Amino acid sequence: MSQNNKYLNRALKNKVQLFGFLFGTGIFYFLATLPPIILKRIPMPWLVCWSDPFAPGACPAGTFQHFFNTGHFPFFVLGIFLLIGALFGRMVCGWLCPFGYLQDIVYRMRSITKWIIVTLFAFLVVYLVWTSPMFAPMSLRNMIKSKDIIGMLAWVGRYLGIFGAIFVLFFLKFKKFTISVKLSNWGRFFFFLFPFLIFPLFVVDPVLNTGGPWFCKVCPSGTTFAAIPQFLINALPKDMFPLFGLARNSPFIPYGMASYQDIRGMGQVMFGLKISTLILLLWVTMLSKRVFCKFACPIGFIYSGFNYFSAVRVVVDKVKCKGEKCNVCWKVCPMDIKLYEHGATSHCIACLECVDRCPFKAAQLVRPSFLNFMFSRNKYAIAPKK
Amino acid sequence: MPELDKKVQGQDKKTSPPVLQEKKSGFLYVIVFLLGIIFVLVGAGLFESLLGHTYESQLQSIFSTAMALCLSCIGLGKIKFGTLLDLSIYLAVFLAVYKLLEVRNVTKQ
Repeated sequence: MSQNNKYLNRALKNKVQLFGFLFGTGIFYFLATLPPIILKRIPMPWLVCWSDPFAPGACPAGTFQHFFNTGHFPFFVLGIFLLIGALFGRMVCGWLCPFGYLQDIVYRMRSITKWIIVTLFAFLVVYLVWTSPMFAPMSLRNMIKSKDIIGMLAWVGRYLGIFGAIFVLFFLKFKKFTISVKLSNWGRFFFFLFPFLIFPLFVVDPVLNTGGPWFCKVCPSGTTFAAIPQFLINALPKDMFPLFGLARNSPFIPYGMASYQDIRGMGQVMFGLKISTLILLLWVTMLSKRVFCKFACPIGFIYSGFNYFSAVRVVVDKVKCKGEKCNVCWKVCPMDIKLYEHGATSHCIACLECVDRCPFKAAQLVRPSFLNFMFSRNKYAIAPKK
Repeated sequence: MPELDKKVQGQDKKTSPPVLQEKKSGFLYVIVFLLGIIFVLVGAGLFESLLGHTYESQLQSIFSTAMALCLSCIGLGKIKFGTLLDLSIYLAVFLAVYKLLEVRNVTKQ
């Protein structure tokens, strides 16, 4: 048996994930804007920021919060969740979510990712120096002139704080760790309950004067796929528009580019907080797999409930399972699930790593017969239809 | 894996608690799927004439919001530190309760 055939589901998953990443982050944007498709009016079934200049669809989390703010029940987006969840459970997280794929990549490429995060740190420092009077060199010059010793010490302290954080994160060695299922249950329940559900209903946003999308203020997916690209686009000189020779109002140009406005001056403390949160999360992701999915994602939390009855899901054959002595499922699982303890649980993203690698074929995939075409019907432990 | 099999034979019942054995897709997903179709149709406004003005299409609302720059998403505008503080206090309380419960469970065992 060749190595390529050995992990058939894994190879397929990698291809689908790459497609999901490219689609979710907008490589097919031009298709999404062509009438009568106009996917922007349909929430995507995975976490994608609707301020992402290339995103083909709307953000499901943002849509949820938007309808809570306006006092309407989010029928359409909830319907999409029910459709997808009933068939695939949380499989979307493992196979299509762009931010999930990013976390997988960060974990797999730990040594390289470290330097990407250092670059992000540099971006943050440059940004702070560029926009904020707290960090600008001019203010230090003024402080020296006016002999403001306390102000000078505070200024130096801020930089020491930032570079100290870089030093701690990247030059000290930390061990890899796993988050317990119980802790991650608490975490995702918290993030679902407060910033996603209760705050949009009851807490007024100081900018919008209505209930705001509070989860978006901490969402790292928004920072990655919307904040950074938007700031980079806005950093380009205006003369560069229309981009690539296209007319400014062309449907092929994402809205962020078409409606050019200088947003750089508007990003203050909140932008710094968002970038810092993203950097911290990426750093933690180097040490533990899919931390955001496990601990904070409200979309994953919603899909979790479907895992117990969805048409496609992973089950364990108790007779074949050798339990803790084998432990292969836990080692390969991106969500750190011990299949032999409680089965696939609500955390399972059906990545099928365990189905591929279980030496006793105890981890199996259940699917209805009409979905046979999607999964390979070979000897790799696809549970028989009864 | 003969060595592993031998090891496994020796393990007691506590290390292999009951796990899921269900191998059928069941029928609940069909009901939920149908409910999803109804929700999507209601959200798309197809039952507006039947249910009234409250159930008009949500697609236009989603589209117009998605085409606007979300200030929160890209980290623009002001931030209310009081709310962030509230959020962090709630998180701290949540984690403290979790820790307490965890300690209690360990003690029981």
